[in-house]
Amino acid sequence: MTADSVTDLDDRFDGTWSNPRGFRGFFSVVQHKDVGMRYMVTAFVLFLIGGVQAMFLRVQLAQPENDFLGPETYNELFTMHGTTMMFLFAIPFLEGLASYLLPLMIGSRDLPFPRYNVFNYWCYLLGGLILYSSFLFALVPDAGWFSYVPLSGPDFADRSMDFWLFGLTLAEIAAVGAAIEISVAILRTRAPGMTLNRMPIFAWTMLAVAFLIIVAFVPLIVASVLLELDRAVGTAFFDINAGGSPLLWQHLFWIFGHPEVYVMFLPGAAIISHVIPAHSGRPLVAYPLVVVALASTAVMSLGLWVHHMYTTGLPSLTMSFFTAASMSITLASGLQVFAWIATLWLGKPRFTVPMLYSLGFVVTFVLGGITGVMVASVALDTQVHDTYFVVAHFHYVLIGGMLFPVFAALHHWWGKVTGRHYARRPAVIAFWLVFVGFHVTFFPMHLSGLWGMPRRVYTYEQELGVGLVNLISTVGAFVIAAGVVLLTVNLVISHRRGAPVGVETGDSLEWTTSSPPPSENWRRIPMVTSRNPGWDRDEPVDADTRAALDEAFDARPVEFRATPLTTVLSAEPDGAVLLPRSTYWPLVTPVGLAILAVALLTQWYPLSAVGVVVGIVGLAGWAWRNESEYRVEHVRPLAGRFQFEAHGTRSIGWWAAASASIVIVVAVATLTFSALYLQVNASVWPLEDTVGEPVRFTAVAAALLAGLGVTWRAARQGRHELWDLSRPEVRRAQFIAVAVAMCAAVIALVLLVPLWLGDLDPAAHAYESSVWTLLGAQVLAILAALAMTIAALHARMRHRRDARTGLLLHAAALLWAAAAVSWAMVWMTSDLLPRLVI
Amino acid sequence: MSGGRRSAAFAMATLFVVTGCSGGQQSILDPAGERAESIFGVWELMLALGTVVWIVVVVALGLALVRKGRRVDDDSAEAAQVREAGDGRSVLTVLLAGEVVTALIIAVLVVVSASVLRSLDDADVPDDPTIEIVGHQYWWEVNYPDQGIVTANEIHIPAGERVAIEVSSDDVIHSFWVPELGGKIDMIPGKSNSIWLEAEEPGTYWGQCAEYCGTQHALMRVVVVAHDADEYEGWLATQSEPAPSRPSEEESIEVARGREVFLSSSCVYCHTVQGTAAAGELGPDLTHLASRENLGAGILENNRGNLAAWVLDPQAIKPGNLMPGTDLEGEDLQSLLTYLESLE
Repeated sequence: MTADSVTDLDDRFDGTWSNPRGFRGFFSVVQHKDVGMRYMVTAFVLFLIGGVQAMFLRVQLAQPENDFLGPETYNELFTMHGTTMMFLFAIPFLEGLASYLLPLMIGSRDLPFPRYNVFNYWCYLLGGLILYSSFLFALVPDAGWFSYVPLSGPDFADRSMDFWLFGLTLAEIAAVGAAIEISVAILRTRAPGMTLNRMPIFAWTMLAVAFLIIVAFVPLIVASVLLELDRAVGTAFFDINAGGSPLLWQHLFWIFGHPEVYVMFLPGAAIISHVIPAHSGRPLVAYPLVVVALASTAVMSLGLWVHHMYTTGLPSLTMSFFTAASMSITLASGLQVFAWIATLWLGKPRFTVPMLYSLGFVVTFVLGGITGVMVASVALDTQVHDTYFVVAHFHYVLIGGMLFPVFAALHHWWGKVTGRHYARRPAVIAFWLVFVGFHVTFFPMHLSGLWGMPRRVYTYEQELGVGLVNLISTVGAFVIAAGVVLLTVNLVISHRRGAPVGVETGDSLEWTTSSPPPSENWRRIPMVTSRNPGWDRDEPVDADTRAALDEAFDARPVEFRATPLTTVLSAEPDGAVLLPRSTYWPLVTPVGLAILAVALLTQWYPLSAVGVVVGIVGLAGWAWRNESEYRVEHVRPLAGRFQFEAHGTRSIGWWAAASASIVIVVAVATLTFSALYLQVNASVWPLEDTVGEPVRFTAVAAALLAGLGVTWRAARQGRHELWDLSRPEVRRAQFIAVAVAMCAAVIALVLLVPLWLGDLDPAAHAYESSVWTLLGAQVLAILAALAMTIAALHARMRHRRDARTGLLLHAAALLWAAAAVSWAMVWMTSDLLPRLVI
Repeated sequence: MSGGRRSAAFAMATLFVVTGCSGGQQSILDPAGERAESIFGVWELMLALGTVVWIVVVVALGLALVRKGRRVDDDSAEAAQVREAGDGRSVLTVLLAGEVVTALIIAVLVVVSASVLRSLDDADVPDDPTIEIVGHQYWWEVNYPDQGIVTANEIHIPAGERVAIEVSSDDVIHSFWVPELGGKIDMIPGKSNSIWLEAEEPGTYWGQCAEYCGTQHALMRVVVVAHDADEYEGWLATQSEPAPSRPSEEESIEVARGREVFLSSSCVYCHTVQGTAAAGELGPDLTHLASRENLGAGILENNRGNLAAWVLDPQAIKPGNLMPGTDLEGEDLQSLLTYLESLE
């Protein structure tokens, strides 16, 4: 091969990986670094906005009986402060960080579903815009970030709550999507050789966090839908006069809300687990124990929610169980603290800016953890619950445990991301301002709480005796603000004028590529031989794999974007994934969803049809484009070994469809839990009015099982075919399977929809509300299975290959399975259990 | 850097000392009854253990930072060896020892916390008096069902006795909390929760709503007044009396005129004065208004000036509360005030 042709190939490779810039680029780029950066910048701007809101709150509380803000404005601002920081800053920022860093850390060229990634970003951005548009209409939500009913319900809250519900639901859809993206990336796109026990702590953590988001955020979306139904349709989920219960909201909210704390803290801890080793030249001590600790934290965090409800009058025995569970989680966090201290002890710590934030994190977070143990005690919590003591506690945990690590991360990876140095002196000053300001602000809040100041009060009387401590808190808040401004200005200036960085070292893989990384991250896909690939740059022993990998991925392929797939446990090469280039399609559906939200907000319902149409067009166009990318010449196996999207679990599509199925099942399970909770707790439940249509219900079950059966069987038939092959009998079998499945879906819908929209009066009683909602959810689950089946049909008609259709049929089968499992729950809840109780 | 942190810690310690451990009206740290005292015991234990744990961790962190032992360059052979060798057994032993100590502390705290909770739950509480408190947006309805007494915002109890209290709500969720006497209990619509309180000594104990309940959550104060036995009986006797419904010989013309103003104004749509035609239920019962120490759910001293200000423009004092102002003037207003002041 001549030098010219090599250069030519290199140019084509670079061309393939180049992204459009400017206006067009803004709306069409899907590359993980651009999207991750966008997430982080948006979230940081919202962080600054939430911070300004906090300053207003602190000024109002600086002295007793102050009249700087009226009660209504104060209540709006504290609601927006909490909502912004939790939903629009913390979670999205960490998703953005993961979106940017994960492919670099695990050695892939992009996330597995780049278009879905940017889709999620648009959902988040539009959700945030909808929430903040409430300021334009003077309808700012004011029910607090946990929006307890009845205060947030139809009788007590005006339309402002709808902004909150629609805005956040869009943002939560983004969070769940990011979780699916992240988990598939970590499981399937790690560099060859990065076995599970060599995975960076950040990847382990994001895997645990993705699990938490899928299990815990879906209940919040469901709860928001139920509340919106109560508000808009008149259902009775939270209406005490018709079998509902305000405590249902609290259960659902905290089933989400407590894991959410760990969704924020665990990535913070993971950042520290990277910063401390990198800045003390010693690998993290007790890596396996830290992994066990963070995994058990994730699992245990699902069983702690009741400790937010100690004062609601639950049985003591229940509460003592939750005390024990809540305190035990300290063991997992404690282990990580011990591991960090031991790493410092054995290493050679350098007092860099990220290290300062890490040390500030340990000092602060441990204090927050200790007050966390205190509030886990039911007896003590009945005193300090909903006081400033708790405000102090969770700011220690969240600012100490999440914001300090984020600031550490900003400085730690700044050179990697921008290729420039930040100025050290202002960064150190900013750290001290933030750190000292933080403790001056929040330590006195322990006292104001102990002295009897409840949280969420716009003012307090002189006689309460908390004027001085509040004044100190306000002064501290301005010190923090000064630190944050200095930090921001320093980073912005260094982004433009900083000196270029030289060689930097950290323990993880991202330090082996250039700073800033090229669009493709690696021209030559790395292989990993140890837990610290940033430090141990030995050539891999497996020369065969190295050679095969180079043949396929050393500045190749040149015509289209691709990255290798590896196996889940041992990260052996297992295929390749075709990565999309820039496209506008992922923007269309979020816009449709936003139009739908606006239509429901303004109650101008014709517009909602436009929203639905735009949403469907977006999905259809996306699917069309997806199939058109799989042109046959593009998907012949790379270098003979790297087959594109092999069958079953070897394809990434299988993992995405499985995740979507889990989301559907969790959502219906949440509805089931809600219905059963209401039934168990209601004094009267209209047992005589159960739906009671055994024939119809059995027929639906049969239809769903038929759909599952035929798609599953047809998916298996296509599995062994090569990409460019088609056999008439397989082709025919696939057509028949699709036709049968579509008929099954239509039959199930014909049976269910009249029942759903028929005699049921969702406003009459919580029983009918729950049956109505369950049936509605079931209809959506069937529509999802139908849509995937249609996508398989579309692929069948466009391609001459059997395997691609088989892949989509496999995904459809998973959605059919979800619909069948949902139906089991729906049937049980709406009909069987009420009968059994009789 | 440690200097900065030390001075910050010093400032915090000074803060504690200077301001003392007693806040103002309603400090958790000034328990005045059995319930609050047993919880205060849990607090003291936790504060002590927590402080020790925090100091141990911070000292360990400090020692790890200043340790002079292993001063090697990142790139040296020794550093590479350390990486390859992995974690020594001694390191893991120390970590696990730390875990065991943490687990023991947790176990102690769980047992103490659960046993305190249980002793509070199992305490014998007499049925009489049982006080029912109903939360309303920004005020408290207080019922003594056995005595047929309805009052508002002030809870009178006998000192030295456990008093059963049942709470619920008429609108949104509130939380009943009098820190010096005990922890809080949520007032949830459609659900009845109970708690008992005890005040060792006669006196006045302040509290306030502890669950965000809307615009005026901040100024939803409550006061518990504990009496010795005789005084309490006397209070019950007075409160059981209805207010005079028609002019009697002792009362002045001014009071009679005030009653007419009251009964002919919009007051009666929301307020009850037992013994008269006024039977509104949206606002506090006014039968014995003049016997109360405060107005507006604990935010104004009950005197004629404050009463006038409240009646004329309650929104100026407590913006967002549900009481509209009146436009009474001159003699009508004075008569009304005199009448209200006569409701003892």
